[in-house]
Amino acid sequence: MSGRAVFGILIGWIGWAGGFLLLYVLQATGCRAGWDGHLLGPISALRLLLIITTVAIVLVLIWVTVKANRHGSTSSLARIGVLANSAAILAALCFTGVIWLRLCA
Amino acid sequence: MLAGCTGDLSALDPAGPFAGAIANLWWLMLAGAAAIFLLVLGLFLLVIFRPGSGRRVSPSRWIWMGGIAFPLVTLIALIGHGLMRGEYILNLGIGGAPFEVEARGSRWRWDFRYAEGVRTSEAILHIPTGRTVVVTATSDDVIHSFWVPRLGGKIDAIPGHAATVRILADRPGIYGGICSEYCGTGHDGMVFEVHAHAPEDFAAVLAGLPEAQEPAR
Amino acid sequence: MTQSPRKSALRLHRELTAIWGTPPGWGRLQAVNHTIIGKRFMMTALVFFAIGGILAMLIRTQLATTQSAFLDAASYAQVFTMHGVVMMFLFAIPFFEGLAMYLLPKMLGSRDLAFPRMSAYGYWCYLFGGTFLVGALVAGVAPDGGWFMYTPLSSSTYSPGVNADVWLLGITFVEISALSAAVEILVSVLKLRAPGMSLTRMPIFAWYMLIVAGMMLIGFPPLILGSILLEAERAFGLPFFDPTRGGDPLLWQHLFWLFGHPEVYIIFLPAAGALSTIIPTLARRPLEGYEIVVAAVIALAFLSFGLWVHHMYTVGIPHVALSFFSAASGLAAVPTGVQIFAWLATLAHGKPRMSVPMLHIFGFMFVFVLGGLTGVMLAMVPFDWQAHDTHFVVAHLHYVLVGGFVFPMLAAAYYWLPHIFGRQAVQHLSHAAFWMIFIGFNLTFFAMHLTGLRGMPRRISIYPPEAGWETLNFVSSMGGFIMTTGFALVALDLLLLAVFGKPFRRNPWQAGTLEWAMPTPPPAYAFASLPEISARADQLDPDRLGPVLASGQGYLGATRHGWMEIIGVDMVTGKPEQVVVLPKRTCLPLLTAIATGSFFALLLVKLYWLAPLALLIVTALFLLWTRDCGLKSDLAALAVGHGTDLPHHYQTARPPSYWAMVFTLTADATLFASLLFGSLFLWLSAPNWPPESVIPIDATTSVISAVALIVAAGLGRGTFTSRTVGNLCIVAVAYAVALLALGYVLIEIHAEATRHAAVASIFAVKAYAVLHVFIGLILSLFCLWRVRRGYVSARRDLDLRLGRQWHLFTLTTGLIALAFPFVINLLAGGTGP
Ligand code: HEM
Ligand SMILES: [Cu+2]
Ligand SMILES: [Cu+2]
Repeated sequence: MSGRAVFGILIGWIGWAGGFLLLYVLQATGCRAGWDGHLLGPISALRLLLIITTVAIVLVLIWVTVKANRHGSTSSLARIGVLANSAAILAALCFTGVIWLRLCA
Repeated sequence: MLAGCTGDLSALDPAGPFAGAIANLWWLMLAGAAAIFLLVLGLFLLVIFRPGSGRRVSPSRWIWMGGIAFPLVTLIALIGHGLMRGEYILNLGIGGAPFEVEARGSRWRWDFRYAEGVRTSEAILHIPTGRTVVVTATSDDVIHSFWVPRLGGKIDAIPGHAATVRILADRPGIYGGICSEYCGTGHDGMVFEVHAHAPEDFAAVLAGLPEAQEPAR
Repeated sequence: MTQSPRKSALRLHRELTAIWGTPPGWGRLQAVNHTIIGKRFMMTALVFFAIGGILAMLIRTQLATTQSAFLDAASYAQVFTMHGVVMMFLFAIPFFEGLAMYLLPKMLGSRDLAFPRMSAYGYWCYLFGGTFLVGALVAGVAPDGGWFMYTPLSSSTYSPGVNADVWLLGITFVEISALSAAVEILVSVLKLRAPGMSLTRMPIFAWYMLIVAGMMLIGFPPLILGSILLEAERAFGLPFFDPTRGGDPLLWQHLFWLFGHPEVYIIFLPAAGALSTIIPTLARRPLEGYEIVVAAVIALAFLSFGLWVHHMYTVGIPHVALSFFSAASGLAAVPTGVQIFAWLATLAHGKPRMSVPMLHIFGFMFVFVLGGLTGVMLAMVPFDWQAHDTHFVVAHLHYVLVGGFVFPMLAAAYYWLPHIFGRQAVQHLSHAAFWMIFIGFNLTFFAMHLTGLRGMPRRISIYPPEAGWETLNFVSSMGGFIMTTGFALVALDLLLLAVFGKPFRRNPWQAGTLEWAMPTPPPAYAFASLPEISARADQLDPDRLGPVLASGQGYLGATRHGWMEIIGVDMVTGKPEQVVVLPKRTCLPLLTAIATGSFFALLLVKLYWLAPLALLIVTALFLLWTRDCGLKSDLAALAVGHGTDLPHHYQTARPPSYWAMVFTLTADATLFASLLFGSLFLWLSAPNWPPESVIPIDATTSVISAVALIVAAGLGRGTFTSRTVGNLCIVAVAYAVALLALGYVLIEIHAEATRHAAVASIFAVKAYAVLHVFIGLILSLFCLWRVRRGYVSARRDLDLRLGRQWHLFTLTTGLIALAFPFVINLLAGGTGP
């Protein structure tokens, strides 16, 4: 079905947007619940959770990109998809602040 | 040039490390922006007025180098730097434990409370010099914003919330402050002053302030 | 064929004009044609631009000197608020909508948009809504809380007058046209193209508009939701934003900027699309990096949704959360850079010719790049702590909006006006006008960066002499007047073009896009026959194609039953798939818009008991629209020429209306998701939580409604069988039961809902469900009626399938709405109802 081909060029960014939302909600919820106060060794439970989530998001993004592109980039649309999906993976850079920035106000 | 930047409310005339850190960031970004602007505009004028001069570089090179590699590297560096500076400002403590005050905006005046709300002042905020001051801003009615450009960034005073900003004055003096969130017809008049006193004088100043009627929130 | 091609072309022209044309005089009120509606949108938007410009001049007059007594603070507030509102909502968005409506069918080799009557309806809503807002300004009751209307300033406590209601109702009214345009553009670009035009053969402008329309679909619902909630707070006391009763002013900021930031890109991208079309033509070389530009625009579209909080750096959000938004804001410069360098590469490898559009493209480069650079600065959190809400931001936003929209649109005007009028520019005033605008603009706004850094907050009407801002402000004001004179010159110049310009034969710019392969000014039907596309559609030869198409040698080169026919294609490949028969011109869009307007007017004058009546009239009028849709008997495939036979769109699996429903429900789902997240946000952030007591929710009514919704969705099938009528009757009854049960709950909790935002959000979620159940009821009755009237058969089951989509959607959202109170009670720390 043709709808799927269109979806294939958006899937990476849809994943990025979902991940973004997830991290933002987790961070806010964690601060409200005080998870930043729970220390697990050197880092707080909240930070650990956010880091794990970020890694998971990146893995999912890579996975969908590979999956969307398993037929190779033969058509022009597929090439657009590869570019867009790779850009989405790169944009996961936005989340790297979870490693080192202040978590709660 | 610099003379044109002074003024009671000028963020370009910092009087403490917080405003200073941001002013530095600005000058850095200004230099970078000027260079990038000249580069891009120069390229545009070149390809228009010297047709063919850009042909040696292949189109995809134009795009990958100019549109991706260069901005990506520059931006990652800048964003990292910006966040580092933010973290620095959020954590910098000078002169021991921070001095805490509450700034309460209401249409259209500022009230300040010190020492767990025991002392108050109106329209003038008294702070010690050389010591980080943590201002907790809140509001009784609509949103206002507490801003003393020469001492640090601004923070919104939002009813039901209490957010903080750090300011610091290096030298005794009077610094202008102004509400910077539109709050109704009195918005332009919602100014205040920050009086910074040398630490040795400060206790006396504080003791001379009137006592609060109602406890702080 | 015995006639000469020329004769047959003339005959075809006459036949097609009779079918597609709009009669003069009163008949103009029935116009639905994309050329006419597109021009109306653009003309009206220009009038609003002039109004916004006059307001800007009032601002600049006021600020030219210290302690100015020209306007008092209250009038000044109305002036700057309305300047922003008019420019953003009544100029920029409608202008590019009009441009897209005018151009898209022509560039895509089609004859009209998918839902011409919706475009007309959208236009009237825009016109009435805009007039309403400007009328309020004349009456002195215009909105006065700034264009983003922060609460609590805009709440009934601090803005007791109607001013804020005018904003909330007027903007929501206008946004109807934005949403309908979004659906229309999405469906038209995806389905209505020339045969053979695959997605990747589309002219780049179509890609831009496709993506922009998708952004509008997701971006506008949060604003509409926010407006509804704030109006509900003002009118009925539901405390969504009131911190004393568990609401939160920050919720408004999130909802507004979740719309507001993408909005800026929604405005910029169409202009970038125009540039991506004009620059290659002027460079005499196809756009370089077509694929990477498309990928960049997709990236920009998504990134633009991940940076709304950069308007909220100073509200006290933790640094790590700010870092997500800061990084996304910064990274947004990369896809923008990709486009700029794609244009540079095109120019570098082409043979650019100097012309008036090129001059404006220079203006764009200069101004927009500066605006982008200050944007990156503002994205840096610490810098924004200083610059936020100062004139630095005012400078930045004008560099971006004027650079990224006004200059490209001026280029577009000089480029496409010959198409609209069939005349070429005279060029006496063009250069002088450009330089006045360019110099005036930079004088005005360059100085403003410094004014802001020197501490001048935005939205102040007077400032003390000792602040030292006077010289800078005076420069800004003088620049403003120069710029305004420049715009007046442009207006004059374009008028001269329209009247005295010299006619030309075809394709004055030697462009490679299809809109030039038709006579100019364009006939109502656009193409006498539709082309077959076998190359990228920005590298065609309009001079050769034009005559061929005019003589009817393409697809659909003959008329049939007086039908308005176009070809629907497979979304991706562009393979012809169906003959789409468009409905006739009619006054119904106008009447429906009037009824819609009266609904908003009734709300404004607080006649709440009458407002549902207006809604019923709107519903009834919309049902009348369907009289012109559908078939009463199964049709054999229709010949479209070139030996191809295609089915009537009513007899295909995926006609345009099917996709329209998909997209409408997407927007609807976004609204619902915003509502759910909004409630979650209140729990997370609002003061005075949890509410003192749990909210009593009656489990019986929940179970009854759930069962009813499941029955409705289970029996509201998409296929036609002998049991359809019976099933539809049961569906209608089930919806009626659900309506009663949910309505009962609403009445039960309405008094409580003003007590705390937790209850209010439950009320809102339930009200959402009630509305959907009600529409489901109407839809099922409508399907029944269509079946009885013989519109439905096993091969013509579209009505049922549209209904099916709705039933499933209502089931999903309905069940969530039923579970919602339990979740809220749980979160609020209660033990559940
Ligand atoms: C014709 C030239 C223009 C001039 C001289 C001008 C001038 C101004 C000034 C001085 C302000 C600041 C008002 C204040 O803070 O007190 C302002 C605000 C604004 N302008 Fe313009 N402007 C122009 C064109 C535009 C255009 C083309 C747009 C958008 C497409 C626009 C959008 C806005 C917005 C959104 C605001 C913010 C309003 C608010 O604070 O609520 N302006 N303008
Ligand atoms: Cu204020
Ligand atoms: Cu923004």
